Amino acid sequence: MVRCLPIPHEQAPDLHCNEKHIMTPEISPYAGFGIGLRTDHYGDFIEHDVPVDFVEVISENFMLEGGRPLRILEQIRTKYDVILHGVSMSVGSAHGIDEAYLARLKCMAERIDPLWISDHLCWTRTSAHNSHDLLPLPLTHEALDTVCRNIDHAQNILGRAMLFENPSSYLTFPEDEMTEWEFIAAMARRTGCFLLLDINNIYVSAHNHGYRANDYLAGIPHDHVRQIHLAGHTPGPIIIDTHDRDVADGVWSLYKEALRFLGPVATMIERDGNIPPLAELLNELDIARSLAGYDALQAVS
Amino acid sequence: MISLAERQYQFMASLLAEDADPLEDSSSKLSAGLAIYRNNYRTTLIEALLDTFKRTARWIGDEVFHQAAAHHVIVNPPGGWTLDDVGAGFDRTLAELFAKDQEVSELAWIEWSMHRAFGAANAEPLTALAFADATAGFGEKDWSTLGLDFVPGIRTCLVHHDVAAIWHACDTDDVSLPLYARDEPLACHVYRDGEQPAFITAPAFENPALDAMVNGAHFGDVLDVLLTLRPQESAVADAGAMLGRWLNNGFIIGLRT
Repeated sequence: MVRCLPIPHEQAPDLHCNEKHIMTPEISPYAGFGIGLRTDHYGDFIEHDVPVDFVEVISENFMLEGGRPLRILEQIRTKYDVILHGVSMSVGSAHGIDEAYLARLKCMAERIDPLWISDHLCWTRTSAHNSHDLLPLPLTHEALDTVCRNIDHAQNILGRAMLFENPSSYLTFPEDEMTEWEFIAAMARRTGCFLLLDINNIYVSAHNHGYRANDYLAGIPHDHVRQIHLAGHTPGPIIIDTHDRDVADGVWSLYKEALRFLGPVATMIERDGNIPPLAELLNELDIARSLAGYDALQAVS
Repeated sequence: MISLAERQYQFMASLLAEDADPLEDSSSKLSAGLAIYRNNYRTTLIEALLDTFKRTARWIGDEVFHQAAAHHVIVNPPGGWTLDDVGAGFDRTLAELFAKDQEVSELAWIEWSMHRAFGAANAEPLTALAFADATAGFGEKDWSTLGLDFVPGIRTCLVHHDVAAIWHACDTDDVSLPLYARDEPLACHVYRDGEQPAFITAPAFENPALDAMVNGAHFGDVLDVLLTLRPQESAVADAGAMLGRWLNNGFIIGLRT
């Protein structure tokens, strides 16, 4: 395991890349079934053998200089594969990516050796302020150029291809020039990044913006999808992506439809609020396994 | 067409605005969506503050805390990538809002310092035995030029209330307000004991002493400070006892000679 020296908040090392594409390690085409690791379940994962193939953690919660969270993550890493899922890269920012953030993430990746690193297709910051929310991008050619430039830079610094998650959103912009799936397809083609397909987010945005979720599923580049998120939402005239309840029936149906396009894809239950006992999340994961024909997958493998 | 940078500045300004939506040409659909993002933004930051300042919230009450937190995020919108930094300066915000109830900002300072210590770099404290071995041959000049390295994240301040009693009262939900003000201030040191953030109170003179040594002063400089704060005949003994307490509490990780 690589040990990294802590990097003070104020200074980032000089990591200006020479823009060569160094994309190792490989992204596994199929990584099984997992759960988002939350503090309530640390004990379960450390003390027992939880039947998952991987856990996904929020990268920023562990990008610390030391202390208990890092120790626990390293302990869990000895038993489970780990995915680093970030919320602060802000690949949609017109002002580029925070270099100090990238440096810390690189250090974290060297320390944890994750299956892969993912973040969101969104922006979170301007040069002066940070929203700490996943904000929607106008679907324009200028935004696409910006996103691709920032993803290229991040992948070069990290030395690996990343996964990017489709967002849920509550508004669209008058300047939009393409659909979200056209945007994502172009992004994946131009940068070589992979996709983390959040089925709940497709469901939420399709409802909020009045398009057909199946058009979205048909329009994304299927060979770039490496992971699926399943989560709950709060219904209403505008559906809110709250991750605080069970996966909705409509999302399960859409998951099944997605698998028809995609074949076997690593799938994960993502819960961020009203965290239930681990057993409840594992039950949901079993539903996913069942819909994915897990027994058949096992037989093939 | 509006540029991406301009769109993002407008959007961010709308999130940060206290009340009105600065997007003048907004359609009603855009405004409805924007209202959700504004609510998410404000809620996320206030929940982050509540998570870091649980005891402060219990001390002043949830409703008042919520108002103070909302004021803080409006006046100090976050700039960094980590949500952990949202609490920076909240103790100062509370010092302004609760100028007559100084214990509120003292409690918040402790919680913020403990929050920072929680994720500070790991370090192994020096044992009293190792310290004794390292200083066994010290002469007066060696003591005078001695510098110390401290556990990362250690901080100190002066408090004017019995913060330990307030802390305990918050734990037990007994915030029925006995008089916690002190006639004389105390030093309050925050550090991490193993993986657990902690604080202790100590004689007031330890505050400038620890602050100076954490910032690179020599032990001789600290003795000079103590001579101005303590009776001359007891200053050296006080300094020795102070050093012993720091060692026993695991503050010191190395010597610089």
